[in-house]
Amino acid sequence: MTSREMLSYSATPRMGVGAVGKSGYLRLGFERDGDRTILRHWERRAPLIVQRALYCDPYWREIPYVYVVSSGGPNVDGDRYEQHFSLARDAFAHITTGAATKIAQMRYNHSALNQYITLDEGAYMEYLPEPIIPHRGSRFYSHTHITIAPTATLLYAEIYLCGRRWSGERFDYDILSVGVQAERGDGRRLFCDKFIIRPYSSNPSVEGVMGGYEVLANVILLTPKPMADSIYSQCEPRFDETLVAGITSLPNQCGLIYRVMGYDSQSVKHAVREFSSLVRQTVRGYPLAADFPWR
Amino acid sequence: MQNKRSLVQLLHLLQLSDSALPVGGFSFSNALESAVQYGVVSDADTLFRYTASAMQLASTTDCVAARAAYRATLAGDFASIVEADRALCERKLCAEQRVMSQRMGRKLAELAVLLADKPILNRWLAAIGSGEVVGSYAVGQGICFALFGISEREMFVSILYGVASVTLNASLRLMRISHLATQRILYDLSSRIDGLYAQSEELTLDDMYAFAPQIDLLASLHEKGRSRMFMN
Repeated sequence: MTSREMLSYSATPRMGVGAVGKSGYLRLGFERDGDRTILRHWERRAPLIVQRALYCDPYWREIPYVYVVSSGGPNVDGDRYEQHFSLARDAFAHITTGAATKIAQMRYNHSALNQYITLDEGAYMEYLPEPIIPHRGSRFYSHTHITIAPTATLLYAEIYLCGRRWSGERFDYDILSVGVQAERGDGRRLFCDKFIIRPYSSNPSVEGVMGGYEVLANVILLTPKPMADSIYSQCEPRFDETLVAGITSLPNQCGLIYRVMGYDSQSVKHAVREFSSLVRQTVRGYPLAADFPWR
Repeated sequence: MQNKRSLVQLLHLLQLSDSALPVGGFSFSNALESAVQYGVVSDADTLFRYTASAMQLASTTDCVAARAAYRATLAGDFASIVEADRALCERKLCAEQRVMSQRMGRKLAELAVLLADKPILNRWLAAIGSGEVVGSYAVGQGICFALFGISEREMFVSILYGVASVTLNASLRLMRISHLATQRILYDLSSRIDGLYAQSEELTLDDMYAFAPQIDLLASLHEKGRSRMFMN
């Protein structure tokens, strides 16, 4: 069902909504196999591609890294993507994207992504994709539905740019609607985060909203309370010329949210990675290696 | 008769909207304390825009939950009041904002029981006491405004007036600004109220959204801050 805010962007585009090559689908299921976690179930439909799980972490050899790639380039008018990630009991995985997700200019419709993340008892998942860049005139809707067991940990990070900053775009898109909600397996709701940015009806640069910053990161950490308390006490807020970062606890004692705002994506990404390393160190006892220099 | 009744309701509206209502609004600042400390708000212009952002935020969250509670109260549907409270709390992602909503909500419930002897108010206060509900301030406002015969539109204005007055009253104690300047800001903010109402009116509980990351961030800096005059 189309969300209320997207109704005015729901005309039929030239190639149709979700036509062949426009309805990406990905289902990844991870399971423990001895010390390692393996990618046991794996379904994909272009333009979403996953080639294989890589074991490339220098500190944690058993964790699979999965790079989600979109072969079609940017998300275009009428694209509908769906991603399912599930981790069985005690499994662990690191999921990221091969490059930033670009949302191209649209004329008739919008681009949508629905994600479902399910973590069983004791599971641990890091979702650290590259930033999302909404181009001039684009419309993007994303909704993520998380089902998580009380003993599992999910680190879920999203970074949003104000547009193609290098070509002078600053909040030139039509709409960006992002929702993340989480619940327990028995249906008990934990939290719901939904934001809508419509730059042409309400200026996002003002004080209290983005306050002049151009990059925003929301890092959601769902983890048992003792872990959350430890990470909360170790995490220092930051406020300097380039960056502001702060941490607070989510409702229903389900975890924490770490937010970062800055002027360039590199420094924001760096802050998110530092926080992610703190999380991994506290929850699993390994640091997170620095990202590749070309990322 | 009609005139007399509407005067009584008007008086109730003024009483519930007054910043002197003893629900503890004076101890909160909507994260303005951090905004001033970090230089985000420093003069009348920046204070105007900051307060407008806080009002916008409330119009798509608190006001929507209050309206759901208002209608549920008129329908005698307590389960829907509980649902509005839960939905709002799930969307308040800042610990300090939740604390503010919860403390003011509890005080409002205690006060309302004292003012009017209505079964639904007693039930609401008992539910807060037992932990069945969080007892959000906005949801409490929805119940009270419905019981006191005030319209939904007036309730909307009253809630946003409350947000503005908490922020502006705090500014008098936090920064160099005169009472005249804050009154001017309040007056100028009225030009936005129709637009905010139109945007808020169509939203249901499921549609509630919030986008004020700087206010959220400032609130989270405040949590770990050392010198604090306000509770948020």
